[in-house]
Amino acid sequence: MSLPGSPSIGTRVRRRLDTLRHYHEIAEVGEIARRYFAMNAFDGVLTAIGVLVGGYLGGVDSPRAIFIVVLTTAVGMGVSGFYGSYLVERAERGRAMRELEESTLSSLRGSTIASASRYATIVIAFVDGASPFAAALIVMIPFAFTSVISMHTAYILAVAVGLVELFFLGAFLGAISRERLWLSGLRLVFAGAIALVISLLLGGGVG
Amino acid sequence: MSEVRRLVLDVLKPHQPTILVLADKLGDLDGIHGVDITLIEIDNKVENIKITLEGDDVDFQDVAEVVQDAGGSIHSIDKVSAGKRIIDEVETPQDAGASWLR
Repeated sequence: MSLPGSPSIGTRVRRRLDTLRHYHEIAEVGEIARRYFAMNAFDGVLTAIGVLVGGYLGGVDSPRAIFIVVLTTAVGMGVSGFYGSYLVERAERGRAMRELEESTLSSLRGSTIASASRYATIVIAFVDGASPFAAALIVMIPFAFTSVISMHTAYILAVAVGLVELFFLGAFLGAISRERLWLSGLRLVFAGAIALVISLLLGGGVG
Repeated sequence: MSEVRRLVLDVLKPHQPTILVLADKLGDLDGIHGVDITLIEIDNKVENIKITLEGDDVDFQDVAEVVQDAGGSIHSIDKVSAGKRIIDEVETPQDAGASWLR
């Protein structure tokens, strides 16, 4: 409920979203966020596949154990992605703002462009942190069904889920660059397959 | 005190937000009937623009706030018209290049 004369909650939310959309355009967040999303989700999937291969060859037969290993790895990637990206974006955008202040001969503190810069730093850091975390966890979905499937089957399905994720990620990149989606998808699946084969060979060689 | 009816400003601003957004925000101010923004000069970081505002009561502080919020700085107030109606500058023989002398 709002006071008479003051804007309703719906209007305030709409205005806030319009402001954020405006910041999004000014700071060109879309392009940078897409890039970080694709790069880091790819990292997340390949890391998860690597851990799964290690777990399989190491004889880890507890779904809880393998889930904890991948989860803690995903958390590490997420925190590293978020914080690293936050510091880098903050530094780069701060430098760009100072250069702009030198050109305009005035302070940009409190301006729209300063707010847009802060918004961009947080959004990009969030994408950088969340994408490998989520991508790695999606690979683990088959392990939630080990009451009905064997661990061996769960490992294979998890790798398959990872490769499917890579395909959709590649298709996403293909949509951005307006290339054939299936070809872009296959490119990333190929990269994942190479990582898988190398991990199997190395792990099998050590064992 | 008489109201300002026309104001012309020389402003230096970053490219973002664009003059479309700036004109929109200035046009929303109370007392403003019309806004004109002309691009004078541009480089890779900033652009120099001329802002012309007309209305019943153009408040310079409100306009300055909007310009600052857009990251711009007002370099000079180039023209002011105030009073009950807008009058234009009158050409006199003392003006350099006056048409009278041609």
